[in-house]
This record gives sequence, C-alpha cells and structure tokens, in this order.
Amino acid sequence: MTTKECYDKIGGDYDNALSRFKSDALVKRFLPMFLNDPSFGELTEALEKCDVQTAFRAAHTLKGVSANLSLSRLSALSSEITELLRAEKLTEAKEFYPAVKESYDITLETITQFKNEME
Amino acid sequence: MKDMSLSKKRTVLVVEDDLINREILSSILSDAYDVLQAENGKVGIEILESWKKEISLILLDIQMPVMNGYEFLKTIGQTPSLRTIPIIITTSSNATDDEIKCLENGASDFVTKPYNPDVILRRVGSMIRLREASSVIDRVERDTVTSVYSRDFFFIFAEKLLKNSETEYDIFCCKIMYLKMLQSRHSQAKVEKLLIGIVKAMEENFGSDSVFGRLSDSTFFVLTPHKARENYENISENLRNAVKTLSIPDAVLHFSAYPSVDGKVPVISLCNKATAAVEDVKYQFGKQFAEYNSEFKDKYFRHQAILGYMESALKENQFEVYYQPKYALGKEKAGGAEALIRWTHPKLGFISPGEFIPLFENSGFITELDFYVAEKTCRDLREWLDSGKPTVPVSCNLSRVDFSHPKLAETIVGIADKYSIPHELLHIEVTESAYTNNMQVFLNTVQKLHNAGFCIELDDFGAGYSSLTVLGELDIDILKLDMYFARNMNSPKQRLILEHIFSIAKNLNIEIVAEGVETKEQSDDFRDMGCTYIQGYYYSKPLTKAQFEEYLNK
Repeated sequence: MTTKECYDKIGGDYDNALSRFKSDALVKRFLPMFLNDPSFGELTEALEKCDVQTAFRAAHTLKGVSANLSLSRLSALSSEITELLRAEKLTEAKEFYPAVKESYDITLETITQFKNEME
Repeated sequence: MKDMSLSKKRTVLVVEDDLINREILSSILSDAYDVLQAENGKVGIEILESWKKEISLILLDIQMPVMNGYEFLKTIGQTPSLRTIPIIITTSSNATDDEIKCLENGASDFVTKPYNPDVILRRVGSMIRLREASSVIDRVERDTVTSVYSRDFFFIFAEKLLKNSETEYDIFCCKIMYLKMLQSRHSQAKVEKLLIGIVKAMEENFGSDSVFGRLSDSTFFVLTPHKARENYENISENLRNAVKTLSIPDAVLHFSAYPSVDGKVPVISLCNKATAAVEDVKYQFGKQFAEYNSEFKDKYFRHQAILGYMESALKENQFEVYYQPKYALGKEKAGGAEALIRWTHPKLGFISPGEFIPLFENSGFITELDFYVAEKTCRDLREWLDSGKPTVPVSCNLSRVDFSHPKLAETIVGIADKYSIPHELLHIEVTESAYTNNMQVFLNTVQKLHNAGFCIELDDFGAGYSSLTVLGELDIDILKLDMYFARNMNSPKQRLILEHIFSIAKNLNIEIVAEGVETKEQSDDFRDMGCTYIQGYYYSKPLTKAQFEEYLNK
C-alpha cells in the first residue's frame, strides 16, 4: 500500500500532507505516530463519564492532530464534535460520537496495516 | 561570512500537549532551531525558569491539561523577565474568538493547524528577528523596568566615556533601602512605578551629560561630570523630595558619591567603593549622603576591622565592664552604678563604644555583648555579696536591637538567677528608640522584666525624639535625663521644661538620674529640683571593678 492509497482509504488528503511536509518520507514518519495518540481514547472515556471539559479538550486535540496529518474526514468529524462539546451539548455530542468512532477505527486499522507493510 | 552572533541557533520552546503535534512542530523547526518541548503550560513555565535567557520564542497550544494556554499567557505576562519573549499561538483555524483572546492576552501572532511548515518557519523567523532588532538587544543593554543601562552595559559605556573624555567625572550612587521589604508589602506595579519615578527624577537632576545604570535591584549609578559635595547633597535632597510624590512615598533613599574618578581604575571597583559609602549612610543618624574620600576610606577599613575582630574579642575577654557610680543626693554616697562596656583591642587600642556599638547594633552582635555585660555584672555582684562588701544596684543596658531576641526577658532572668542575684540589685536600662522600633514587643518585654522584679531605667530621656507618652505606657522606675539637660540648664526655657519633667516624675513616682553632670553648679541645680541621683564626671568617671570597689568603701 502506498502512502496515497492509505490516505485514500481513510478519507485523508495525501496531496495536502505532501505539500506541507514536502516529502513522502516525512509523511511516512509522522503518520504512524497517530497510532499512539491518546486523544480519541480520552474522548471516549470522558464522554462515558459525562465530563464535558475533558471531552472538549480531547476532541479539540484529536481535531488538531488529524488536521496536522491531513486526515480530512476524521478532522472534519472531530471538528463537529468539538463544537458540540464547546457548546456543552453533551447529549448531541454523544449521539454524534459513533460517526467519529467509525472514522477513527478505519483510520487506526488502515494505518496499522500500512505501518506493518512498511516494516 | 556570516556574523557569529547571527549564526548561533536560536532556541524555541514548543508548549503543546499532543505528542504528534509537538513532534511535527519540532521536526519542522529542528533544522533551523534548537527545540525545547513542554507537554503543558506548567512544564513550559518550569523550562522557561531555567532557560529564559536562551529561549527566543514560544509556540503555544491553547487547549491543554494542567495549565492551559491562557493561564500560561497570564503567568508570562506577570513575570517581567519572561514577558518580552514573543509567543505564537498554534490554533485550529475556525476558532477566531480564541485567537483574539490570545492576542489580547499578550500573544504576538498565531499559526493554524494543520501546520504549514513554510508559514511556521517564516512567522517564527520574522518574529525572532523583530524581537532581536528591538527588544532583545534592549533587554540586555537596558534595564527592563527603568530603561537605564543594565550592569554590564553601564560599565562598558562608563569606561568608554572615561577613556575618550577630558572631563572629570564622579560616580553617584542611589540606593533604595529595604527594597525586598517594599516588594513584599507593595504590588509589583507600585514598586516599578517607584523605580521609574526615581530614574526620571535622577535624569532631571543630572541632565543628559550623565550615564545612568541599574547595577542591582536596589542600586542606581550615575557617571556624571564633577560636582562639588554641596551639589550632591542638594541633588540627594531633591530626589528624596521627589520620592514623596511617587507610588511609595515613604521609600527611603541613601546616596553616595565617589568624586573625581580615575579613568584607569575599572568602573566596577569605583562602583563598589561608592556602594561601601552608601552602605555606611545607615550608620549615621539623620544623614542621607556619604562621600567616598580618604577620611571615609580610613573609617571604612577600620569598621571592617572592628567587625572582623568582635567575636574573637569576646572570646578573649577583651571587653571589660566598668562601673560608673550614680551618686545618691540625699544619702551623699553611691546609690547605684551603671555597667559600661570598654574595649581595648591589642592592635587597634582603645575603641570608643560610640564607634563600635552602632556597628554591633547593625550586625546584631550587640545582643551577645549585652548578655555578656549582664553576666559579668551578675558575677561581680555575687562576688561582692559573698565577700560582704558594700553592694549597690547596677544597671545594664539593653539595646533596641536586643528586643528582636525572642527570649530576651527570660535570658536576663536566667542570667540573674544563675548567680542568685536578688532582682532588685539588677536594673535594666532601655532607650526610647526601642519603643519606636516595635512597640508591642518592646512593651511586653519591659513589662515581663518589670514583673520579674527588675527596676526599669529609661535611658537618654530628652535626646532625639522623646515623647512623654512613653512614661504613661511603660512601667518605668527611673528616668535618666540625657546630658543635654545638664549642659543647657542656664536656658530659662530648658529649666522650665526640666522642672515640669521633675514634677511629672514625682507624681508618677519615678526617680530621676541626671546624666553628664560635670560641675558643682549643675549638681546643686539638680539637687534643688528634687533630683535623686547624679551620674557624671563631677562625682566619678566610669571605674574598673577594683576602683569601683574602692569607691564604695570610701
């Protein structure tokens, strides 16, 4: 799987990543870091505990990280949940959460596969 | 060729909680900069504390646990040494309110996520250049609060001026006393306003042909064309008056001047001498200005020697206790005595108490010495009691400084009891200056001593800022009239005041000792007014223990 194929599969914008990081090698270096990012886990946990502040911060971080890695779909979804949480609309955020989770799971799975293939 | 100062890699601090964002930023920056990373604001502040001189710029995320970006900005804004470091906010693009809030809170610029390396490098680069073109160099060269030269730059510019000029220059020093205390009592803004006001007043007084520097938190120096001593005294007075209109009007300033500096001597050593002179001002009652001249130099070295010798002098019993009789007028014999300290140093010879006591008071050593005198007195009293020799009550002095000792009364009781001295044989002399220092502690301690059975004598009454209220508040048994009264008895006004003091004392059941009586006329006058005791050369000078024993036997 090429980096571009990986991005396509998860709804990312490879061209955008390449234009910012200047080389495929750098994109390859940063992308697998996403596997260790704790923000989605924190978001999940905070939502379960109905802790809006922590959930907001975690969603905000997830949004920033995915945007930085040009993971456009996940970035857009986490941006939406961030705004819901910023407005402290906890119920609506919880309703929206599965969409974020679906995108996150695909992203995680694909990048894991991509990383394994690289090694 | 590249300028060395520009070729050095600048250091950038990245404050961001997310590892990936941090790594991406660091990797973007690492070619051009040394990057320090902090995972939250608190860690960021810690790193800043130890690296603030090295850090050229901060990239700051807003949403962070522990200490968020706003709190971080606030802390930086309140810390003068940090607030000149530019801060770029890293933010998500669609939260404009956040960005405005950050810019209002002292951030310089922002970059949006996703990071665009070109944009980031350009913003970081131009921000650092901007700062170095203005504030960075300024920060090193100029004091951040008052904008006068910082220490090193003052030396550089002063030396340059001295080398290239035919003019004769002086160094003037202005020290803000107890600045640490002012800083703890007043807000930083108020203290800064005071400093700025002082500098402004100095600039007005000295004019543009002078160089100004802040060499420590509390000292300002001026290199200025030579002036007469009177000019400096006038300027000192002007500056003190100026302070009265500033944010902390009761701030105390001391001044010194080192006249006619030699251009071959490093400015730092001239400043050190001016500092020594300014430090000396506090020993001199009512003075605010000191000049570093040969007379001062001799005195300064002598004082340093005295302070250096004092502890060994105590161990080696160089301090001797003398007794000056208090002549009881009705009984026509000694009714008491005052224990006085005398010091003869093997090298320096006789040193006057007037010289060493203020020094010891300032260093705190006086308390040890006062305890020593009390102990020696009690030991002598014991000896006289045991041998059946005539014995009179002896008074020992307690310095105002002694009242900072947490167990002063207990220590005195302990010393008296160690030698089983009946407390009525030991009198305690205190001065009004102790009363003004820390009134409540003083009153409590004197009360304790009085309750323990010691007679309390109020020393130097009538000297300095005497107040009659002290007679009402203190349980005083004996009032010691300052020698000023003995010397001014011929003035009808003084006489009238004296008569009233005697009348008040009588009503309050307080006995009076007249000090400094040197003639029969003075003694007779005091006798006519109803004085109980006379202390002075007319009856006896201070005597050694052996001489005093002989005196009592007469």
